[in-house]
Amino acid sequence: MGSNSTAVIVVRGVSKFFEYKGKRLEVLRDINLEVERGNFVIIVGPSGTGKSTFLSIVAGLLRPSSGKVFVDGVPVEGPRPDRIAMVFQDHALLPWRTVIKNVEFGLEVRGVPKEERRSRAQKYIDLVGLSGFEDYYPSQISGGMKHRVAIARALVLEPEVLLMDEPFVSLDEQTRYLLGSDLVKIWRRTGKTILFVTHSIMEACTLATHVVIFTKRPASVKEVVKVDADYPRDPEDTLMASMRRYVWNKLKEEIAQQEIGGGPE
Amino acid sequence: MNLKAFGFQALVLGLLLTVWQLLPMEGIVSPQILSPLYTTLINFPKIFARNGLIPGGLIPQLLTTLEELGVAFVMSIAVSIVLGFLFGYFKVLGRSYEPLIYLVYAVPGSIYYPVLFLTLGLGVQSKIAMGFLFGVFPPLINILSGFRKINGIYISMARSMGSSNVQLFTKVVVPSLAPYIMAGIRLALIFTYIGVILGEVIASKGGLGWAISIANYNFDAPLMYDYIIVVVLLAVAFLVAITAVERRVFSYA
Repeated sequence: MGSNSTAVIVVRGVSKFFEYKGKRLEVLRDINLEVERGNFVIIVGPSGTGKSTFLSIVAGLLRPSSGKVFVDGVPVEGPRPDRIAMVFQDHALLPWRTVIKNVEFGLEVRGVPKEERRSRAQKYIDLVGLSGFEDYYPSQISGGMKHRVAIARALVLEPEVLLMDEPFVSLDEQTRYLLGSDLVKIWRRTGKTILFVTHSIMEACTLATHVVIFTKRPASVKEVVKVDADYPRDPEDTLMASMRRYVWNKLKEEIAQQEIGGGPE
Repeated sequence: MNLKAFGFQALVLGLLLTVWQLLPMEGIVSPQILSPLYTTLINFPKIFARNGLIPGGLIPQLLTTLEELGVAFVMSIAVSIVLGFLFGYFKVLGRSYEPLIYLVYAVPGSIYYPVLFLTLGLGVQSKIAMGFLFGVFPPLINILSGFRKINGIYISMARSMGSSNVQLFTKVVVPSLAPYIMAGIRLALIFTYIGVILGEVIASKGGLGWAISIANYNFDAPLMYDYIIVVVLLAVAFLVAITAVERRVFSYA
């Protein structure tokens, strides 16, 4: 994906093994990837291929067995809340905190004074369209709204990079579509670099500037597909349809092999 | 509360009270064993008599029981929270001592009586010890299971935001455990109460349980049931109070 100079995330030869009941499970094998500043990159791959593991490594939550990840040229050796924020699968909102207190979480951890916390959190609550819901508890708002809170909670730290681990997986199709197009708006307004993991080819092709296709386990990068289309995109137009067909055909090769070969589950 | 549910509860209570009145009245059970409801209620003022069977009447017994219960309850809560957090947070300690906790908990409580009465005497100390031994394990086990149920994704989220270990503890672990601690407090109250009353009934020099057993040995059935009513009302009062606290603390659920 272009030259080194503008790459904000650089992944060099990342591999990951897990030891499980004395067996060695190879999840990632020699992953190389560069993500340029301001891009919206979506990783798709067969189920259980270690996409989330990869994202956790980029987030600094997990150590690779070998290889290195650089963000802004600095190796990732642990969480880097100043640069990288993560949106987790199933939103991971703390149920005992209100919407605004959830959004404030990262600022609170960093010791930002209360007044400033409030106003910064409010700004991002407004950005994700949740004004008026500040004092609601997560149990009192809808699934889609919870995901918006999770996005605001990540954005409030004003990171360069937003990592999103299948963030909308538990939502119904309509909410998912709406949230996706809102995410594109937020991304264009804030200019963040987004690295996003999904199972949905539709989601990948409609949202991303680049679709990264992972192979079956042990995963490596099979192909990076640039999506040359303007936003907002119409999923029904012919370019989108042929894009989906292309990605699906690439993915099918991997899935077919995985089915026959069988994973070491 | 739901009106229908309240109706059903009133119905069952009414039935029980009717049975209580009818069984001895119809001679199915001797009134010496089960004094009829009406007789029991009429007798209730005598519970305050200072020079009857129970010297000093109800108030000193109530205070003795409350003192024993209070100390045993606070000890149970304090020890179970401290041990629960130590064993839950430091996995090595948990692995080493948790099996021991389950082992001691599995021992029938009745084998403590002789040892406790012989070592601590018939006063409040042995009741406090009984209450503590009954009350400390249920909340401890509850807190330990709470540790196992902490959502790992909350931990990852907090770490990705740069939380220190202390912040992880105060902002994620403690609030995650709060419902288990609260349930533990409820259990501790119920079980220390059982332990204290049981200790008083078996061998003691004062307290509500002691009054019940004195009335029993003197064949004063109405007085015995009056004291039992006090014990029941006290339990109801505790549960109402704890439920009120829980509602306040967990308004988010």
